[in-house]
Amino acid sequence: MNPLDQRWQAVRDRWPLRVKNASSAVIPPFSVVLITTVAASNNEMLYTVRKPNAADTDFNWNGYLVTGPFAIGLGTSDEGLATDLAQPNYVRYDTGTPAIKEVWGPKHNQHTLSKNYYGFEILGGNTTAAGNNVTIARWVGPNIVIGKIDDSSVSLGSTCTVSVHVGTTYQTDSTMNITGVVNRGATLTSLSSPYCGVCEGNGIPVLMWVAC
Amino acid sequence: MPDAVTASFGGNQTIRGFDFTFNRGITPSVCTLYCAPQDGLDATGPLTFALGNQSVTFNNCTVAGAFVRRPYDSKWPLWSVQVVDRRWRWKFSQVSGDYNRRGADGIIDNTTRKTPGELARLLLQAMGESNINVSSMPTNVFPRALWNAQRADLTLQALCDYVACEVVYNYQTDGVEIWPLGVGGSLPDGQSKFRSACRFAPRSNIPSIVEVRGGPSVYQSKLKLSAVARNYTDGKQKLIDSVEYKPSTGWSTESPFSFPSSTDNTRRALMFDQVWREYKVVGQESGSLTVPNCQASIASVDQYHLLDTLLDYETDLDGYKRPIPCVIDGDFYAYTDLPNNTSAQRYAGDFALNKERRIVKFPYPVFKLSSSGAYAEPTLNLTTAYKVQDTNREFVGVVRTGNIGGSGGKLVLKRPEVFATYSSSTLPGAQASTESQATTELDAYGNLFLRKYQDQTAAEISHAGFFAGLLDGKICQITWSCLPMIGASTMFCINEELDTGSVGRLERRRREQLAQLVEAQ
Repeated sequence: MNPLDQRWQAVRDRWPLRVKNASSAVIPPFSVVLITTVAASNNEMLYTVRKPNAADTDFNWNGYLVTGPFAIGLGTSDEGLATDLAQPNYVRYDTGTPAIKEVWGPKHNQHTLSKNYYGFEILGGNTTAAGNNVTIARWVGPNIVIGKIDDSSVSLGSTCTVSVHVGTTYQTDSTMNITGVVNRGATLTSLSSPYCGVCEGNGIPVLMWVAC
Repeated sequence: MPDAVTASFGGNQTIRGFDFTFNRGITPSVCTLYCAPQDGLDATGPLTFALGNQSVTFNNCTVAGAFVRRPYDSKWPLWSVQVVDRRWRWKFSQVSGDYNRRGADGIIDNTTRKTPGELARLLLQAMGESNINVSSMPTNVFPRALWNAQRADLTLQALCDYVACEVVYNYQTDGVEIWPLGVGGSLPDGQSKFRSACRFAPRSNIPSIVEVRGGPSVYQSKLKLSAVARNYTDGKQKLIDSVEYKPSTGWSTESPFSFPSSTDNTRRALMFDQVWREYKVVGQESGSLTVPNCQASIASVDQYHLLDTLLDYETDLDGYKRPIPCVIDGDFYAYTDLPNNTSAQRYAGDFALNKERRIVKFPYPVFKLSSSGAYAEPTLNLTTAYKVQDTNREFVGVVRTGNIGGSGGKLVLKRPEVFATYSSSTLPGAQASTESQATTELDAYGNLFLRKYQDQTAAEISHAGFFAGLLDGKICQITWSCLPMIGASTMFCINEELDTGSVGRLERRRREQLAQLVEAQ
């Protein structure tokens, strides 16, 4: 196999997922997109994706893909390639300078990663592609999410909503919420937006700790 | 008392007369002996005839045939025995070889280079000859020799015809000489001649112009490639922007990895097969159809006859010149991780060139990415060698002419192995043009044939007695005969075989070429 044949195969290996643009705008190369549905098309898996938008109030634990080096076009039927970033790959970022070991993550209403958001560990290699800043990262997923409990009380065995906080000291409200967080500790009363830690096991988030 | 004529062959004591026409070429000449019929004739040996101190001997002659003929006077029957000179052995020879192989640039691979003399020597050696003189053969032409277990004598004759030479058996030295046509002695004169030579010009055999046509010239330049695709409904080839299944939003957003704009599986399969994968040669890199270094008018790319190799070559480990495949370069997305295009870069992947369709096909889509990452047609150029037809569909090649004079018309010599090459896009070290080498060699061929026709007269002269004359590039026939009522005589012919009693040269060549055809089957 000669070099270009290898490259052709490498591109298919790096961005193996067939994705369809459900937005009404072009998705630039290396964009973070949100999976909306997946279904068979011509007997192949076809992921329908879109830009995370302002209405996405729910925090996504692992529902993101990153598109390949090709823009995914204007029409709602336009398709392209994407990866789940299990292997390191290029991904767009917004501002700042990603550095190795930092964790950046998706943010509402943008296709780019933001610093101190959840999900992607930076490996470096910052550059530009198709006019966008890109870095090399891999999906590590959030082990635990820091936030504040929105409810004033949570009984034992009931659920609450947690506002996800980000930033170097976790003091910034990301505007994303985790709903249905189960309280398996003691009943909590007279709460005033205490910080808490949330993790997810079998798809159901659970309070790990609460700073009362 | 006059000297008596003696003739001997194979111990036959009853020879009453003979008639021997000695010719050039590879076909043995026939001496017809007239004698009394006898039984058990089987001889191979010298044929000698003499008159006084004039004697002629041909060694290793043998019997080709014998026929009993009833004379007109109904007296003694006559036996006509046909004895052939020693060239009869030549037809049992065989030769193989591969010489004067030319590279893609038209230049002979030095490892295989042989002059006509060297080739003739190889052939004569294969024919069992050791006393060989090829020193007069040309040294500046190099006919292709690809011999595969074929008859050496026929091959030698073809070689000599190709370079305007003739095979001459020298019975005095028992050797073989190759003479250039038009080079040799003159008719022998002297007291013994019956009459002076009668010269004439055999106009019907003499051209006025010699035209030497080389093979088609080979050009190399960068040819522009345009993306094409075949229509689904009528099968017509279209530029990619005109094909019927072009998406309504254009190709810029159509993923070549899934072609989602089509829901028809057959049509979609055609898109996978065609889109961004087939590129047609549409002209020169500049956009023009005119071929650099070619004077021919070009109206269509159909006049380009593509080869799939370059004029450039490699010298392999064994020292032989080998052609190397054509190449593509341009601006395209090389499937790099980052969506950047190459810039005038050599394409390093597989592709197939369909010469008849003038189409390059890639095993996967090849496209360019716009600054925003959208799909676009790449800039691609195919560098390959090709031949060119003019608008009359005649291949363009080097043609050289030489003037003989007179009004005989044009003798066309085709030398397809000699061709010129022109390249406006070569690898380092390669020659940009080999026209001068081709011209020099074609002129050399022309000069060989101009020399053949420089003496435009033919003549014969007959002498009493037996002259031990020899053949050369001009004296083409000697007939010795001793017949009742005529006596011993020798006739010499120059430039034309004028003895109508023997098989003529053209007929001999026809028979030889038939033998060659039969052998080739």
